[in-house]
Amino acid sequence: MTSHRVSRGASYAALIFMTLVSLLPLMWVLNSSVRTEADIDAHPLGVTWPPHWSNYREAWTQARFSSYFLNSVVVAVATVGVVLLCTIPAAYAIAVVRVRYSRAVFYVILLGLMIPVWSIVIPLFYEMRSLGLINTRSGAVLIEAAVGLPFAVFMLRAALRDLPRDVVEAAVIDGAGHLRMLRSVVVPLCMPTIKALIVFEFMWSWNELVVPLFFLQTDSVRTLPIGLSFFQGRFGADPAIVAAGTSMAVLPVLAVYLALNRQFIDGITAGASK
Amino acid sequence: MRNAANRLHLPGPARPAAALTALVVAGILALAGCVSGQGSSGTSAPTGGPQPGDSAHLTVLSQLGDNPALQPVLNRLNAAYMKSHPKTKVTIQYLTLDELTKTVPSTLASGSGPDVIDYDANESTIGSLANAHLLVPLDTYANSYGWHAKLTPSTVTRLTYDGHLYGVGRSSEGVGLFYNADLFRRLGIAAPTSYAAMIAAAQQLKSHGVIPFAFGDKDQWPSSHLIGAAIHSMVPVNTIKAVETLAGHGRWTDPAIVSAIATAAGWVKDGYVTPDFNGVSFAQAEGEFYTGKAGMFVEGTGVVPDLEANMAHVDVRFLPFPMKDPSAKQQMEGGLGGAWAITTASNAPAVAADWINFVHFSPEAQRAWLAAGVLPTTSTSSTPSGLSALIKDSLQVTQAAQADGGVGFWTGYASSPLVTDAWNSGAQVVLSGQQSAAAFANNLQDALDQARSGGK
Amino acid sequence: MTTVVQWNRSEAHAPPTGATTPARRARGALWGGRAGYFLLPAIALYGAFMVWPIGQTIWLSFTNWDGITGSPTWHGLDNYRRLVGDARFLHALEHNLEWVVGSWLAQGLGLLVAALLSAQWIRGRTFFRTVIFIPATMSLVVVGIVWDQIYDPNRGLLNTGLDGMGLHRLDHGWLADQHTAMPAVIATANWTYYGFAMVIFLGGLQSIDRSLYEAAAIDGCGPIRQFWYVAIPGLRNQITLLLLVSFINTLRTFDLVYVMTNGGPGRSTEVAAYYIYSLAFVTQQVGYGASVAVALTVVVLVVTVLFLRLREREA
Repeated sequence: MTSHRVSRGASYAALIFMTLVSLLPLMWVLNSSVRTEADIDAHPLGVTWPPHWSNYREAWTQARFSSYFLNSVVVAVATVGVVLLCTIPAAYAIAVVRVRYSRAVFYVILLGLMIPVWSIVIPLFYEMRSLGLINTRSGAVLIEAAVGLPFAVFMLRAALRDLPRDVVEAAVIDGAGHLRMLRSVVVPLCMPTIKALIVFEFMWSWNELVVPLFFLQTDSVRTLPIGLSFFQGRFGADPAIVAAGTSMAVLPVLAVYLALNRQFIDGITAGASK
Repeated sequence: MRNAANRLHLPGPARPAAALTALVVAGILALAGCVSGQGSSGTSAPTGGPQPGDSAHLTVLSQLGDNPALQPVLNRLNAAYMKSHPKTKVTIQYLTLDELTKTVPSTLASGSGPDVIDYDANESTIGSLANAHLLVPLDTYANSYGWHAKLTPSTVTRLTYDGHLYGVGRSSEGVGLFYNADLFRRLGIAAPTSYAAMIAAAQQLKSHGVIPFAFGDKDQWPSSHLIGAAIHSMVPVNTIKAVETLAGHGRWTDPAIVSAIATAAGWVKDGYVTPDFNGVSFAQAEGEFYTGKAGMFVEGTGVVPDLEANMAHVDVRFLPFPMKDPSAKQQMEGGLGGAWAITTASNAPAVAADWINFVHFSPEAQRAWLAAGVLPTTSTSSTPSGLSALIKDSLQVTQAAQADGGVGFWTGYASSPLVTDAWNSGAQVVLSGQQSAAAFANNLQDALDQARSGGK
Repeated sequence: MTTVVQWNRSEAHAPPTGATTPARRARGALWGGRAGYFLLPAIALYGAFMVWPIGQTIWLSFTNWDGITGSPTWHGLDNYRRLVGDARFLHALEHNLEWVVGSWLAQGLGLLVAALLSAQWIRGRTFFRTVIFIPATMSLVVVGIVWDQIYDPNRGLLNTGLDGMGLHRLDHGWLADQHTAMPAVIATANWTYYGFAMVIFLGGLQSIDRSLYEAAAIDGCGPIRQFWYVAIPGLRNQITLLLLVSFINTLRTFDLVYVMTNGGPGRSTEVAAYYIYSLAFVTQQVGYGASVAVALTVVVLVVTVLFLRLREREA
């Protein structure tokens, strides 16, 4: 019995340790974000009281945070939209209708999962320039959507493949056209997968560095990660202000994650079992 | 039974195939090469577009991200310009030099860059942009505003490529030796006026637990100032020039240069610089000097404004970085600290030129910059009164070096991005003692050879 | 990402063609039709922003170009000849490999946590799972900035924490030293990896039939042996998946290096993607940068195929 208790105790200890490892860096940054540079230098692990909120004001005004933030939202939402608009019909054609050559198309798209973004960035830079899409949010959206497309096609195809055939056939016999089929059969039945995709594609776009680094080079269109990477250079000397900026970038994502954490977990689990 | 097939059976299957074929064809056509560089090729200044006072919106990219103390100065001048030109709006964006060099070439190549950039005045930076026709030649504006007569001859020379002026030097800069005179007095250390005195001071500071030289090389360029100081202290400027220019025939493997690099690495080995310097940013190193954790700082006069702002109550002095051979003429690393240039992406180059003329040449601008500690690029007859001791020091030291042994180059950053790339990583390794000075010099020379053979 | 693991198998499961069941006929009716159009948006997007640029990269890899002036000029195989003897590229790939191997630690941690969390008596499962997954949701730029501060020699959490525990002797300039910089960056990456592995393994463990454990218990296996003989074989798919995903992602990794070290000190943390970036956008060797990008892509594809082959043979 005691050995039982010991092993349970050890298990909890290990879990609590991992919890601390996961949280401490964030707690430390949050704490630093309301301190002053002098305090941090004197007592790196201490607490400043009362909290020094002005770091946030400084970070917000100096770093154009509001504009970066807005750009990130616009790009991420549009990317999710484009991905879904392109992949839901495609997955339907591939997995339900099975139009000719769809399997070839599917495999070619799948290859995209393995392509490093670096093998497309160089010429894309010049392509976007000649299309006039450089330094526009739509340009970044198109690239990010293309990069995110293979995963979405794969997930949706897997979900549709599991669709009971008799449901499809019943709808066909009912005289449903493709559009009605999509609207009233495919989309409702794939909703869990679609929700998971929304979460993933949004998160990827929100966190993307390379695409905006090259394709959004003016301050008016920059997204949060780029803004932050510059932010670090700009305030490198003052850890408190860097911490405030970082916290502002982390908190919204954290909130979304905590609110939707079921979708995250289910999405990953579903993706892995396919 | 109404079958979906009756309605839908048409030429369907061929469609995706056709689309795929079209794509493949498009891909092959693309392979034939539709990628090309910036098409514009003008070498004469465009005079069209909005004129000063017209409605225009300028974007300015400034490298004062590294000098927070100067941002308010430029902001005030800009506000004054917009007030006297109500139809013109000018947005300034501040980046650090590191961020700027990482993004400017591709931003400009993207064809939608800013109107005005404040970029480094080297062959490898402004020079390469000028050669790529990404910058507007300024000759027409220089003539109408009389810039040639106002700028010092060496400023004009450093910014002239293929016979055209491409930039307006924003500041004169030279690398020298800052020291915390209060701290030196308190510890009873003599001023580092000679090389021997400087080394003696370093030893004494170290024995008192003070870092002799504040130094952080995480950003990679500060090594150019530390090792560059050693090179300019030990190698004649003409030899340096032969190495730091693409047209020259000098070699990094010149024994004098190798020995200077080894000397700088020796300071590190003797424990004279900030520990773990490869993990310390420039801003942090600067902070160590502000707070008296370090007693000396080998840096360019460009940091004077920051020192003024952060060490108002400390007696900071500036000396020429001493020549290792006391009988040699005093030389100095440096040149220009950034230059204003107009990009070919600008729709309003005439307005941009007018803005540059105001923020750099107007009497109020000249006053404001000098008072903030920025050394002028215009020929000044006399030193105005009311300047702080530190600003006076830096002005006098730089002018004296100019007249004596000469102001050299920004070490490793002058000739080509290839050399700079080799410098950035190599200097970290050679200073940490993990590579010999000779091996480092060899790598730099390889990069220079590649650049000189046109394989940039 | 998961795809790759699966696609060969799904093909094997495709229904035999030519069977004229009623279902087949119904589908035959739909077969083709205007549904072909439904593929067009995806094909257009993918073709324009993936296929086309890949073709272009391949073409550029045979040229010499600075990316700014004029047009690329044909250079034949020169770039590839240079690549073969390019120690810097091999060095960068080595760092990628270290990263791959280093990331196995995170997979192991994820497995351990998942195993603990799937014990029936555990309380607060959702809490632990939610919190431990948090690092995996964060942008690598943010993670890089945070950990850069943590590794700060003087005021970083790591050194000051060590000091606080009386371990001054372990203080170190983690990112300043060529020998510790790469492990420090990999540790940072691992911080974002283990949560993902945990969730995948949790899903796998939940689908293992409880009765298998019971059978093992009856055979006298303790919890550890039960885990070894029942859980591990049951997690085969998840393990392959994670190994493959981490491999692909690690080979193309860039963000942390860009934010934390610029590839330094020296080139001690330079990875392949950073080298490509530096060639194409810093030193303006676009043609050669393209050839390195092609080489990297080929490496990823070849290893993926080998990996899947190996796995199939084992199965």
